[in-house]
Amino acid sequence: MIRNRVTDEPAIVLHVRPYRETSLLVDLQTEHHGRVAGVARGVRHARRGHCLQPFYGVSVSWTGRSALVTLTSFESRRSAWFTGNVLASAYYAVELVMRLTREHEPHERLYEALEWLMRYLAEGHEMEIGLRQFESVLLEEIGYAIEFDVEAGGGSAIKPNGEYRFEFGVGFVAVSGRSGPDVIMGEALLAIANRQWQRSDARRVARRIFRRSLETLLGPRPLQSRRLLRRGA
Amino acid sequence: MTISPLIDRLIEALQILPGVGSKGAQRMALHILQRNREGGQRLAEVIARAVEEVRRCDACRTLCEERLCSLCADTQRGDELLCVVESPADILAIEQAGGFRGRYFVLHGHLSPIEGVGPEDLGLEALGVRVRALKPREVILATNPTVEGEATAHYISDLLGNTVERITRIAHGVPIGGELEYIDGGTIVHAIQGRRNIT
Repeated sequence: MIRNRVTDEPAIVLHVRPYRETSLLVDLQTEHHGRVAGVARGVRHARRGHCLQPFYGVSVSWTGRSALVTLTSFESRRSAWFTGNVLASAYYAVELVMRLTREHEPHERLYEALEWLMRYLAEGHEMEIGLRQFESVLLEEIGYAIEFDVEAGGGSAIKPNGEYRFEFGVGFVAVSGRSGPDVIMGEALLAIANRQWQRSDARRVARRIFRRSLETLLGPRPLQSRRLLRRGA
Repeated sequence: MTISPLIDRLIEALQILPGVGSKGAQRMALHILQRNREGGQRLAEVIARAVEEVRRCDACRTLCEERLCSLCADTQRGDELLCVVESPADILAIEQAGGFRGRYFVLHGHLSPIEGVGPEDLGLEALGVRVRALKPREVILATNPTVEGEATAHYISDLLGNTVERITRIAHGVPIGGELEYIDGGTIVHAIQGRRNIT
């Protein structure tokens, strides 16, 4: 069998769990090889600790080409320690990646977006904006990009004073003379298209649309990380 | 190679223990049968009894034989401090270190959103019951300084909310005897954030 060797690959630690007595099973989002699961042998109970902690940015080397690779070296590039609702947000992003991407499917932009989000959260910025930005890249990367500036079917441009309804997998459909909770103003959609996150209508509408899209893709099993959010936040 | 069905079963049964693989289990089985049958008998009896009789303490849920464990039954200990830990082993560690004279509560695990371990799996309702019964002045969240431990502490502090006067988290930082040069970046960031006044 041809041994596959990858060296010094930038990656983000998604999840870590104990394996046998002294080893760890690690899920990583790598820059060029997508999501990779690997075994790190003999690292548990290391007295000085180690960098294979969730949300850390690492540089890893591995061998093997099966579903489970063997990590041969790893180094920390960026540490991460989140608490409270920021921790819940980081978990949310990681849970989405674990649930919606397949192993060994390259997603360079998703890696970049996740790395950006981890730094963004660590710097204490507005969580909501970071999450919307991340969700939009995630949806694009898994093939469900949403176009916010044109009507469904590649038709006419969204008009600021138009009224629209969102259909998952289709896009924005103009509605006329109807008002209801589902009706979205064109100006909010254009604000999302232009990433004007300082506008509260852009944040509110994007949150609703991304959430509905992601829930459709996730199916009936709910996200666990949502339950970590502090109530009222 | 099989020696005898019964020996095979013994070897297989021993492998439920942590750190025991097939080779180790084989050595143990042969040792008992060749050199220490009496000890083997004692081991079998005590395992059978322990599995039968050891249960969770009604108050703190650690492992014990009575309705209440010796720590919960001890009237010399104060009710003002309640320390929440992940496992009975954590109680042993804190007790061996000494210095803590309050009460405990054992979660028997931690929240893990990625593995699907949610609040109901930890029986957090029982913690609410314990807090209402004990009325501690302070709840100390001594879950491990891991991401899961932190998520668990966060969830519990939200759950208990204002039913307790004070909810604290154990400090994390540079270990005693450690050298900064060799310590992981995350720990250092934490130690700097959690710095305190020299008194």
